[in-house]
Order: sequence, then C-alpha cells, then structure tokens
Amino acid sequence: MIPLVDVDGLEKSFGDLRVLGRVSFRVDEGEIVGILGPSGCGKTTLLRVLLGLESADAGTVATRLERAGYLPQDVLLFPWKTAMENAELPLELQGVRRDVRRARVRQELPRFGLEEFADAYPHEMSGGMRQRVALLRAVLTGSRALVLDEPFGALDTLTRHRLQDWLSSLLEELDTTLLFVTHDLDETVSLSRRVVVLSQRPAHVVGEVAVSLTHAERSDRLGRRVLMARDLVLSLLERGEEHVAGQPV
Amino acid sequence: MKPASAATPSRALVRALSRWRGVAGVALFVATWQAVVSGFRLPPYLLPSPVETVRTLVQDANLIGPHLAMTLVETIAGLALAVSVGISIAVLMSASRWTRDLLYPPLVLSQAIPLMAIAPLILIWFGLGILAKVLIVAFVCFFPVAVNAYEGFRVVDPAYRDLLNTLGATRADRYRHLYLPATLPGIVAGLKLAATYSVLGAIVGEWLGGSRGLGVYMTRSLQSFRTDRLFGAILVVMALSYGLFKLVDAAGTRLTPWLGRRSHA
Repeated sequence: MIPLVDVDGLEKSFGDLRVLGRVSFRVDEGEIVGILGPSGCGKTTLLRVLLGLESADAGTVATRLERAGYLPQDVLLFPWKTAMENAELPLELQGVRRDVRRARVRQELPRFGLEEFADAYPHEMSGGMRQRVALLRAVLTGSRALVLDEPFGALDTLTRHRLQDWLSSLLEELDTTLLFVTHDLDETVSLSRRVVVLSQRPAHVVGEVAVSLTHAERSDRLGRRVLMARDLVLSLLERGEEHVAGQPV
Repeated sequence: MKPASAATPSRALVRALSRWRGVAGVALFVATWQAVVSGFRLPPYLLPSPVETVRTLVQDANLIGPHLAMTLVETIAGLALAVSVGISIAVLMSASRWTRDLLYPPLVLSQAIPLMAIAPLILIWFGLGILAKVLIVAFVCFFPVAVNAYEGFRVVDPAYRDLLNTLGATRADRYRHLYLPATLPGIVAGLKLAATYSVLGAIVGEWLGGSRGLGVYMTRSLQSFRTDRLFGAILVVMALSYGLFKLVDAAGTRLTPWLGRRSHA
C-alpha cells in the first residue's frame, strides 16, 4: 500500500532556530494518527511541511495531502462569511453550483450540530461551534484525509471533552484518514489509533504507541484501558529519547 | 431584580434624546446666526440672515436645480473613478514589494500638489466640460481610498492565505474571498473621507471655469454681490456633502453586515 504520508529524516530550521531534527514516520490510508509533542516543539511546522506550505531543508517528504481537509490551529473562519458560507467554501472553489453546494452543507449541518446556526457569523458563535464549522469545512473538501492542528486546544475543558467525544463518534461514520497534532495527552488517547510522540525542539520521533480502544472505552476517561494507554504515552513523553516503537496497548 | 419592562422605556427615551441632540446643535447654530444678524443690524450683502438665505434658496430653486444636478453628476462620476483607480493602485501595490516601492512614493507625493495648482492645468488639458471636473474630483478622492485599501491588504493574516492555498484557491479567489472583504471596512472608511472631499473638488473645478454647476452659480452670485445666493449655495453644498457621506455610510453598513452598526458610527 502506498502510504499517505512518508517522511524520512525531515529537517527544518528558521535561521539559527532548528525546529525539526530528522523526523521520520509514515501514515497509511485509513489510519487515525495523533502526533503528540510538548508545546513549541515544531508540530505546526511539521504539518505545514506536510501540507506543502513550507519546504523541508533536508530529508524526504512524500505525501498525498494535496487538497486535504485542513483545520488550522486558530480555526480561521472568515469573519465576513456566515457558517454556511464558510462551510461551503471548498465546494465553491471547486466550482460546484450554489444550489448544489448549499444543499450539501444543509445535509451535513445536523451531524455537526449546526442546523440553527447556518446564518450566524463567526463572532456570533461559541468557540465550540466555530470549531465544528471549521471541521465541516475541512470535511467538505471531499478529501479522504483530514489534517487538524491542535483541534480543540483553545477551548475550555468541558467543551473540549464534549467535542473530542463527538469527533470520536464522527470518525466512526466518516471513511477518512485523520492526522492531527496536539500537546494534549487526553486528546491524543481519546482520538488516535496510533500515537507518534515527538521530543522537545528540535523535534524528532521518540516513539509510537498503538491505541486499540473501542469508542465506548475512549469515552470513559477513567477507564482502565484508557489510563493504561495514557500512562504508556506519558512515559514515552517523559523518557524523551528512548524509542518504543509499535508497542500496543 | 429590576423588571425588564421598566428599563425599556427609559432606554428608548435616551435613544430619542440622543437623536435630537444633533438637530438641537444645528438649531443653536442657526439661532446664533439669526441673533448676530438682527442684533448688529447687518446688511444682507454683508451677512444675510438664515431666513433670508432660505427664502432666496426657495425663490431660486428652478435656477439652482440644473447647477446642483451638474455638480452631483460630476461628484458621483469622480467618486466612482476614484474608487476604481484607488483600489487598482492598492491591488498593484499589494502584489509585490517591487510594485509597492515603485508606486507608494508617487502616490504620497501626488497629495503634496496643491489643488489650486493642478486644477487649472487639468482644465487646460481636458477643457471646460464635465470630464475635467470628474478628473479633479477623482484626483482629490483617490488617495484615501488607495491608502486605506492598501493598508487593509497589508494587514491580512497570511494564515488565511495559506488556508486558501490548501483549498486550491487561485490568485483571483484569494482576492475575492480574502483580500477584498478584509479590506472592505478600510475602503468604506476611505470612501467616507473621499465623499466629503468630492463636492469640494467639483466646486473648485467649476469655480475655475465652466458654464454649469454650483461653483459657477457661486461665482456669478459673488460677482453680482448676491451674498444671499452665495449662502444658499453653501447650504446646498453642505447638504450634498452630508447626503453623500450618509449614503456611503449606509452602503458600507450594507456591504459589511458582519461588523454591525457600531463600526460605521
């Protein structure tokens, strides 16, 4: 199988600041992979390189993420567009007729809990709703891959947990590959099927952990298997340099 | 707890009073004007009273009408040209550092040229007809539009551009979905300034030469010592400028619904 992302020895610096130092990992189609690392370790830079928004200084980067559904860290809804207009943007740029794309968005609004907010501007919505609109926009690219940058990082704990559970169940319905970066350990465990752990800057892959949990198990944040997965990922983060590849829960 | 119904009438009263404050200010000015004319017994050729001014304006309505129509046409055509030229210059300046360095200094220097020096030249080059006046209005008005539009383009968060790139947007798409809407409030602000200058530009052009327009009417009134007519024309110019300003304000509110009323106040 041709991987969706195949990165080998990726390096990236900004002037004297070495951000990524020999990062290597791969993501296959259909996988749900979380990239976990401390704040400021270069996770966003890594995603930007994968999306072609930055070039690599060294190493090989082979991806099939052109036109991937991208959810940036700051959500970036256009303030002058309503929820409907923001969500339909990918379809509009693909030249889909207005009535067709509007019908497509309306069809998806209930699944994203937005049926009452189609005509609301971003400043009229809560943080969680803005996140849902941005995610709907990413889904409507029609791409089989979603790339999320700290998807729920700016939200309060309760909203974040609710959205994580909602996204986890949404992923059961969507036939998609998901690649996301986060510094949130709970978020990684609740969403990922595989976790790639990065070190401090300059980031490199410390190790990987497979997280084989059912949707119900993921929702129970104090469940034994969730806590086990959490401890394993945490120990990997703490051990820093040590490599524990592919150890399943 | 204070009942909601008790708060509503007082808030409505405050809103009504604040609306009338502007009218009260104008009324106070007119009353002072009338008091000065009556108190000092000033002759009408020196300072006509507001009553005399309005009376003359009503009597001369048929005479001033065609002049007003001409000034209005010149002003609106000049404003339209200024918006087109201003936004085009802003787009060119935002295209690259090279074009910005090339265009920004001449743009700023153009505003150092005194209007009273360039306006006669425009009349010599383009004649005494409507075209010269339209160009003078455009010369006066394009700068605030260009600068505000360019500043709007300049401060756009590049993260939005990156997002559009991941969606496969073309350059035209980026202007349509990002740069133009982002800079629209700036363009509206520039256009509000331009609207107030525009009538002045048309009047200066007409004052220097022509057969119709409020500037021509004012020159003729002055030459025949009809100060009351001159004051009447000034009132019409003020009303025209204010009307254009409010029109641009209303259009701006309609074009930028996401900002709400507060941004246009």
